[in-house]
Amino acid sequence: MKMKKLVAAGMAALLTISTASGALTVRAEEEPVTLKFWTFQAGEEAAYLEKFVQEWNDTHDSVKVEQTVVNQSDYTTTLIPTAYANGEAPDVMFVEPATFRKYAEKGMLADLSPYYTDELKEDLLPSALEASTYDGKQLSLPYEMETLGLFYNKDMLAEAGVEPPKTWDELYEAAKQLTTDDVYGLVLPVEKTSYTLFNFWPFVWMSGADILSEDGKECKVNSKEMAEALDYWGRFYQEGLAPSSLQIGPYDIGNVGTGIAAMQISGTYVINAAESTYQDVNIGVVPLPYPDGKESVTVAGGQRLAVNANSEHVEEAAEFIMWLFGGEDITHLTDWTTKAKFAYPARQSVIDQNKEIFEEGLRKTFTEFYVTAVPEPSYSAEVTDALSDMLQEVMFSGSTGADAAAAAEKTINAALN
Amino acid sequence: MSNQRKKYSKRERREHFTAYAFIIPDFAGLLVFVILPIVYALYISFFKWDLVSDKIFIGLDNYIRMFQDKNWWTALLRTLKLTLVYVPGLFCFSLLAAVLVSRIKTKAASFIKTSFLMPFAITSVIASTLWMFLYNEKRGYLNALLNAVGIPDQPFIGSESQAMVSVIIVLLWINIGYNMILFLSAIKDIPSSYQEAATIDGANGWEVFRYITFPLIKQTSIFILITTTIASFQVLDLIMVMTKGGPAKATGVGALYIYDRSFNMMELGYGSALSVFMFVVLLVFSFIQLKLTKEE
Repeated sequence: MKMKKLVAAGMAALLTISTASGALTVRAEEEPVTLKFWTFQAGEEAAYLEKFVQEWNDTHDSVKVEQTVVNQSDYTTTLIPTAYANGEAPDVMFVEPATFRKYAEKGMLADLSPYYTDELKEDLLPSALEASTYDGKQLSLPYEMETLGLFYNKDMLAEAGVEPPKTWDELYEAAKQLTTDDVYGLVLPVEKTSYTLFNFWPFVWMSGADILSEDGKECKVNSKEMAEALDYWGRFYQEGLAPSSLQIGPYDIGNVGTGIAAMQISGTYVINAAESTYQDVNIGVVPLPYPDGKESVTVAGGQRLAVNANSEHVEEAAEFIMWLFGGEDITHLTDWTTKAKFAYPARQSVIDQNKEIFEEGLRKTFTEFYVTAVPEPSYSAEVTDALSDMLQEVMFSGSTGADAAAAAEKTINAALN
Repeated sequence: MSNQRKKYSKRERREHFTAYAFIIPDFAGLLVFVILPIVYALYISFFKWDLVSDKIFIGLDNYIRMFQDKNWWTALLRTLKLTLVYVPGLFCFSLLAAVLVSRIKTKAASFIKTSFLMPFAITSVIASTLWMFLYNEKRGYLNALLNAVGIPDQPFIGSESQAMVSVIIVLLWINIGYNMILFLSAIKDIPSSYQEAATIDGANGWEVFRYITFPLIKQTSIFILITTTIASFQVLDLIMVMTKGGPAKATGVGALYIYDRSFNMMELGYGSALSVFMFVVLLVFSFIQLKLTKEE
C-alpha cells in the first residue's frame, strides 16, 4: 500500500516537472501569436478559406491563424457583438456593408490605412475603396463585389411568349403574364432583412430618390421619386406576382431552378449553382429593368475583411488579411473570385488577368453591366431599420409609397436629431 | 413541547443530507444560468451600453424611455394577443385530448399518447421549417386540401391578417401533446370510484367531467395556465425562423423587439430594461395565480 502511494507521488512529481520544463522551453522559443479568425462560409468557399489558412500557417512560424466556423445568420447580429462584450471577439472578421457603418461608428474596427500600400490603393476599384472608408480611414479591406441581375427561366418565358424585360413596365407585365396557380412571376426578397434592402437599392437609384443629404444630417426619403420606387416594388407583392413567404432563401437560384418562379432577382453568387446544380434548366440573365427614359443600375455588395480594434495583435492581423487578399500576389483573390465562388474581384489587376473567365456564360452579361454597379451604402442601424419598415409597409400593409416614405422620414429625422 | 427543537434521528439526518446533495448541483446550475443572468440584466438595465463601449450609468432613463416607446407597447400588445389566443386554445385542446384519451382502455391509448407527444420532441426550428412547407402558398399541402373543398389559395404566414394565427397553430401543434400528458396524469390520479359513484347516480359524461374531473384537476390546470402564459411571452425562435416578425410587423412580438433592440441596434441596456419589465409582469401574474390556488 505504502509502496503504491510512493510510486504515485513520484510519478505525479515527475509529471509536474516535465510539463513545467516543457512550458519553459516553449517560452524560450517565444510563443507564436495566435490570431482568431471567424468564418461562416460553406461548401467550396469554406474549403478555399481553410486552404488559405493552412497555407499561412505552413509558411509563418511566429503568427498562427486559428479559424473557427460559426453560423452566418448570427454572425453579425449576436455573435460578434456579444464576443466584443466578453473580450472574446476574433482578431480577424468579415463585415458586410449593412453592418460596416454600425461597427465603424462604435469604434470596433481597427484602422488599416497604414497597411494599405499605394499599389493596393491604385489597384482597388475606386468605389470599393471609398465604400470601405469611414471618417477618412480604411477600416476594412474590400475584395469581392457581388452585383444583382434579373435571372429568368428561358423556356417559361418563351412558352408564354414573353421577351426578357428591359423596362419597369415590361417587368411588371411579364411578371403578370407568367404568374399562374403554381408559379410566381418574380421572386423578390420577403423578410425584414438587410438583404431585402440590398435588392431595393437599385430601384431607389433608378428612380432618382435619395436617403440622406450629402452631409448626412438631413433626411431626403420623403420624395416623389421614393414614392414611385416604393409603389412599383410593393405592387408585385400586393398583386401576388411575387411570393409573400418563401421556403428557400430569396437569393437561392433554386427559386427559378426548381420552377417555383419564372424570374428572380439575384446576384453573381448564384452563377455557379445555376450552371452546375441547375444545368438542365435553361437559365438566362439580363440587367435589372429600368424606368422609361432612365438607365439600368445595379448594386455591388459583398463581404470585406476587417480587424478588431481591441485586438492585441492588430499589426499581425492586418498583415494576415493583406497577405490573403491585399498583397502583390493575387493568386488567392483569383482563386476566390473564380473558383471558390463567382464574384467580381475588387481589384482591377485580377479582372485584367482573367478576362476570359469573366466572359463565360452568364458571367458575360454581368461583365457587360458591371460598370453600372454602385456600392451598397451603409447607414446607421436606426436609418436601416426605418427603411426596412418602410419597405414592409408597401409590401404587406397595403400602404402607398408616399405614406410609407413620409412615415420613414419622420422616424429617421427623430433618430438623426 | 413546541419550544423543543425537533431532534432528527441519524437516519433522518442522512436522508436530509442526501436530499440536499441531490439539490445542490441543480441549484448551482440555476444560480449560474438563471439567477445571476437575471440579476445582471437588472444591473445593466440602468446603463447605456452597446456591448462594445464602456457602460454609462443613466439611472432610470431606460425605463422612462420604455414608457414612451410606442413600438414597444404595440409589440407587447401583439404578445398579449398571442397569449390570449394561444393559452386558452392550448388549455382546451390538451384537456379535451386528455379526457378523450383517458377513456380509451385498449392498447391503442399508448400509441395515441405517443403520437400526440411526438411534435414536442422536435426542435422548434425544425417544426417551423416543416410547417413552412405546409403553409407554402402555391405548393403547400394545406392549400391543396383547401383547394379540394373549393377554397382558393391562402397566403398564411405571408399575410398580415393570417400570420399570427398561423404561428399560434404551430405552437399548439408542438405543445398540446406535452400538456395533454400532464392533464392525463392528473385525471389518472382521481380514484375511479368517484366516477363510478356519479355514473350510478345518473350523471352523464359531461356532468362527470364538469363536477368530478375538472374540479379535481384544478392544481394541474393552474400549473398549465401559468407555464403556458410564461412560454407565450417568450416565443422567439419560431417567429425568427418563420416570419422574422413580418409580414410588415404582424408577428413582431415583445420578445422579438427586445432581441432587435439588444442586438441589431446594439442597445443592450435598453433591451435589458425591457426584459426586466417583462419579467416583472410575468412574476406578478404568476404570483396572483399561485395566490388564487392557495386560498382553497
